Amino acid sequence: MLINKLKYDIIFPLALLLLNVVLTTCEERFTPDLDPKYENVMAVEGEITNQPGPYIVKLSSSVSFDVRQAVPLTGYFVEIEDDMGNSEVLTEIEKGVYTTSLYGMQGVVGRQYKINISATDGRTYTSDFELLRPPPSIDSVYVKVDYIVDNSLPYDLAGYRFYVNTQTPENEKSYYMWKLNATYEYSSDLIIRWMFDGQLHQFTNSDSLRYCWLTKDIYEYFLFNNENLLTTNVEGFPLHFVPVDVRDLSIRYSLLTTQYSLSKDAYIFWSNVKEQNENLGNLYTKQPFQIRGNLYNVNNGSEPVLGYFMVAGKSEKRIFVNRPNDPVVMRYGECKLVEQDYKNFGALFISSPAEWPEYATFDNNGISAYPPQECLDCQEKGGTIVKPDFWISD
Amino acid sequence: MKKSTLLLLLLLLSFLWINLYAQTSGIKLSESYNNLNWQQFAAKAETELNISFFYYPDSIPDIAITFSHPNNDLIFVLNENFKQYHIKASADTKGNIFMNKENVIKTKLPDDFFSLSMSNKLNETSAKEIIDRDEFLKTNHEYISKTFVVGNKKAGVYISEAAVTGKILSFNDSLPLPGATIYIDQLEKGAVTDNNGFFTLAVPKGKYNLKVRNVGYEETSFKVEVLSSGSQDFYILKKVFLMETVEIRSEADHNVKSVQMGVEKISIKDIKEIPTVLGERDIIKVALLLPGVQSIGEGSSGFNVRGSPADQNIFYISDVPVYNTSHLFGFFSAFNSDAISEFKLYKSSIPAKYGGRLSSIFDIQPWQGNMEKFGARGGISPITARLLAEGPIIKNKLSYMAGFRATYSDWVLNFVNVPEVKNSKGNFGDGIVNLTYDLNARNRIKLFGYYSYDNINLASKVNNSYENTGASINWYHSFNKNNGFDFSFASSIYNFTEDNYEYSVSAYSLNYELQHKQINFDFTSKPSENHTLNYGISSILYNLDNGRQIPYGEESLIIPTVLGEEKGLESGIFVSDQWTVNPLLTVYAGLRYNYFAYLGPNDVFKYRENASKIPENIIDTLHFSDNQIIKDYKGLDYRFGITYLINQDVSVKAGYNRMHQYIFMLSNTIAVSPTDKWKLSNYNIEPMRGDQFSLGFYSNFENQKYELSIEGYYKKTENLVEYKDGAELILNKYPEQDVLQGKLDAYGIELMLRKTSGKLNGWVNYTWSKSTVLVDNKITGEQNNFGIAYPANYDKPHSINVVANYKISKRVSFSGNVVYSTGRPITYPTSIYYQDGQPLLNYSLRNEYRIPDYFRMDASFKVEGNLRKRKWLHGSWIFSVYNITGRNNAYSVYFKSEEGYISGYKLSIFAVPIFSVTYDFKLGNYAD
Repeated sequence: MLINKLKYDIIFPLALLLLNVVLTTCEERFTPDLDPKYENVMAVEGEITNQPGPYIVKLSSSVSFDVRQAVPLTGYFVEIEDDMGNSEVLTEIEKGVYTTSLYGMQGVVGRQYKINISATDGRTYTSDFELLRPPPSIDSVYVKVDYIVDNSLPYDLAGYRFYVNTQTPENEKSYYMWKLNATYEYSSDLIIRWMFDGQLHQFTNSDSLRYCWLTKDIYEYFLFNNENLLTTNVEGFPLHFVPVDVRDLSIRYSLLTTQYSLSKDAYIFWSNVKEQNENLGNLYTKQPFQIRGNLYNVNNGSEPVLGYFMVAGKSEKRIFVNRPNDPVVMRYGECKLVEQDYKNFGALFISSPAEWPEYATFDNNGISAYPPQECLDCQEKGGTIVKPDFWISD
Repeated sequence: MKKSTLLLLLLLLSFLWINLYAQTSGIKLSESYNNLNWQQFAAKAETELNISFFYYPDSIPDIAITFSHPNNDLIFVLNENFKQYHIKASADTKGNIFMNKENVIKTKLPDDFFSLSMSNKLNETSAKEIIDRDEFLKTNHEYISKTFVVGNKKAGVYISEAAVTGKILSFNDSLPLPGATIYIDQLEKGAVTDNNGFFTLAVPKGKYNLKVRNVGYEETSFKVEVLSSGSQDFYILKKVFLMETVEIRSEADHNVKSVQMGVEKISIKDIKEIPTVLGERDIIKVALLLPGVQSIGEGSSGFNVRGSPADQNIFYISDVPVYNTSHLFGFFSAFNSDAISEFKLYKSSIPAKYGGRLSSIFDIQPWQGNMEKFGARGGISPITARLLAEGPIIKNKLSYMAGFRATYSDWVLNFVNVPEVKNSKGNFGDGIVNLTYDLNARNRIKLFGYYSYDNINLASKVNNSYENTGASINWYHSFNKNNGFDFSFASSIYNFTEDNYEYSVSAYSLNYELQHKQINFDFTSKPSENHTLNYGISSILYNLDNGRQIPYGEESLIIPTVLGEEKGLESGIFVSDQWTVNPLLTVYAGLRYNYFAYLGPNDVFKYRENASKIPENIIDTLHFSDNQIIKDYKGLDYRFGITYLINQDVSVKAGYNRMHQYIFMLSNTIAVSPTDKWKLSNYNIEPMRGDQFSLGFYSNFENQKYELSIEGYYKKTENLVEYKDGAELILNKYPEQDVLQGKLDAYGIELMLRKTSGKLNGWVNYTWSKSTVLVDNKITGEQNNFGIAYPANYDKPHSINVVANYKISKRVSFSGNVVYSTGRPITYPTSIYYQDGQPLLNYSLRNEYRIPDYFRMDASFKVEGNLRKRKWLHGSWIFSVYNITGRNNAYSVYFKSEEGYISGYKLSIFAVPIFSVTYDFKLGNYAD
């Protein structure tokens, strides 16, 4: 179970903590010399589920740590095949991204699927058939106020912890994975009064740049299985935590929870990956090893292939939560006009045309100020002013 | 007129039979003695006053002796003048003046001292001894006392050879001294005392100088006249000036002459000042400073001997096996060093009486209670408080010892104003008690008990606790001069529980228990002078409860999982002979036949033959009833050793061992974790077998002051238990499905130089070694690491340890360590790949890389309390610094994703110099 694996991540720091009463441990940046032979290994990611397509398969190669992007593998032949003799060849719609057609193959619960890949030089890769398991449905996702302890803070940091309840009708062992995608609404802290695009204009439409929505993937996935549970239902499984020291919970927050029902092999793959990627240097975790996925070179079994082509039942649930009420106090930083902002107002007129339009404001006394743009234009913080289609206002 | 300087210990020996005057001599000094320097004073007095001075040559400062009338009594004057140096003078009736350091002198012996020494005698003749000072004789090197007569002429009329038996005892506390050597130069013949201080020595009738040596004691010569077989005990005196200094010294000739190799013996006082983390004295951390002993990292439990995994070692304390030897995950060891007298580590040359572990036997001797008087000592360090009491229940017959240690970290944690810490608990403790009963000179009975526990809790997350409980009874009996018998019965229980309540629905409680009951019959006999036979049987009954996982709390929906129980019987019958072929050549040979039976009740799977043990290959389930043999394994162990003396100070030795092991640790974590379980070889997992070849060169030089050894070894382990990648072992009902058995190859060379005495002593060693694992089952096609051999986790090719102690003065000493080793192997992530837009780590082959090299220097400074004789409490302070240079030694290296970017980090546990102060106290004065 997942819980077992996480245990020493908690216990071990405690042992250190006890010692920390009297001494100091140290963590510092360290970059060992690494052999580049592990770069350029093929990595596959993709899935077929019971949800309508198109299904996407991405091919890339492994890269060294300082490369911040996957290197796509283009020009491959990619095909998804089921156990009834149906198959579909995917088309490369952008570099390294291969997709089924809009009304092409559709995953069916109970059938088995595999992937076949060929490179132009003749290397052929395949996976073994995996069963598309029935999608469990998410009963509910809800939040509770939780606190985490951060030794650097004089208070316990509050926030929302998300929990999931899942109903699994049949009496069988299920291997779950949850992926999360969050969208939140937030506002800029100050109201735009002026716009400058070479000339200074009064800005009346001030609400238009005030509210934004930001959507992001939560870079953490959650795993659980009911192998050892009396019930097949999952109740109150803790997902991620959103603290109040960021803007995420400032107005309204929406979480899209995608639940996968995996094969045991896929579950083991993801739990190994999770364990190895979350290990923070304690010695009570399992011996790490090279995790290879479910694809292999047909002619050369020793060639490593990374990544997993998932065949999974999939269901989704979106929920909305509002800003937490008392006694939770929001702790993110807000813009307030300071003396420098007033002094800076003149700088507005010598701002670079490349940055136009620039915005400015004035206070209750009518004194103008030129604060940082992110205090005025919510888009500066990465969101968009277009309300998402799925957004349901309070 | 006799020479004035003489070894003090001889005098003290002879105190047994004489009465002493106390503080005055009746000799009045004339004014001509006033203002003479000591040397002149002594010379003049010896010539003129018909007296003799006895003292250590260098112990008396050459000060001017002054006095005033009428206080001109010799003894009074000497005491007045030397008071500031804590030297006391006393005299007997025959004009002998004894000049002693205050702490040692016994001007009046305990009233029963005489009867004690009498009671320990086997032979009446020695009672008749009357030591006359005039009969001190000078031999080549030392003065020896009057002849001890063994046996009587009448009994010896028709024999030419006689057997001398007896005990070697400490003069200071009358405790028997195991491992002391008795040696007769003229015959080039000797003996070593057994665990109870008994020795047997067969010699032709005649007069001999008998030398007795033991670690930490004065080498003493006795003049012995052997008339017929008989008994004689000998008392030797603790080294006074070297008290409590680091003085690593095996039995004096051990390094060169003994047939053993790869055996380390360390007495607890040798390690008292070795600087350790937080001032917590720790025998396991000291063992790590010996050649060929490694650990995975600071703060990891267990250790690795000569390239073998930690589960190939066994720890015995007074015959009780201890299965978890660490406190707080390995930061400290589970043995309170106050309550230990010494330990022995057999890295090779494991005697035939020990079996069941391939790599090493760590044998710990607890402290034995003082037979004469009550004593207590204790101490506090930043982590623990210790207290030990000992004393006689029946004087000179029955003594007790009880030593306890516990943490007070919970109390400290309460002052930390962070809720998570405040609500956390991490405490441990241990206790060692024993009773020693000397029924008579031929029988000794020992009762021993051991307990240790750990309880670690992180608020609202996980609670871990584990404990060891053990007890033993040991009966030593000497049938006659040539035959002894040692019986022991020991029982040990190791268990742990873990409560995990992070997620209430799957909150659980997990437990495990191992019971080990062992019985040993061990006979020693000397059929002829050149042979020492050791034979006997031993048997171990294992009862393992692999545990059950049960719901924890009302909300938990965990299905209770029972992992089942196991039973096994491991028996051995052994015989060995140490044969002194000639004075230069000694041969040791031993055989041990092991029989291991894995017993019911149990159900086991039968898998398809020559196929991997996976559920698909199960062809049958076999049911076995209680005590039915499910599977048995027979194994023959060999022991062989040969020592050839090139000369008295140089030898060459070679050895070969074959061992079998029927229990292993179910562990696939990098270091041994507290929830790792021990598991028996069973129907589907075969026992491990190990062979070790070793060859060494040994030399002592500078009058035994230095000991040099070079040992090389090659080891091979078959059926090593390894695991499939990522195997989940904690709740595994069928571990055989995750076990892969492989091979381990290890070899190395160990260089060791020790200085055993003098103001500066200690050791330097260098080890070069290699340890490689290969898991590649050609039949089933199962592999680890894709069938490529990889370095073991603890493989550290180069390792250097320096341990030094310098005695600045009697009250102040300085100690230091320097430790270097190659970094341990590690599996690094070497590239990244993407899944779902997230970078993931792709790891290298197993242990392909190494963390940075390890280097550390420690120092400690010990200050003893004053040396006054009359005090009820003596204290000492140890100030120590661990990791003086504050080097950030890597404990591990890991990688994490930060905003989609992977960065490497190095974690160091003891990254700054760690200062600590330890205070120790004991009842009585410095020397008591």
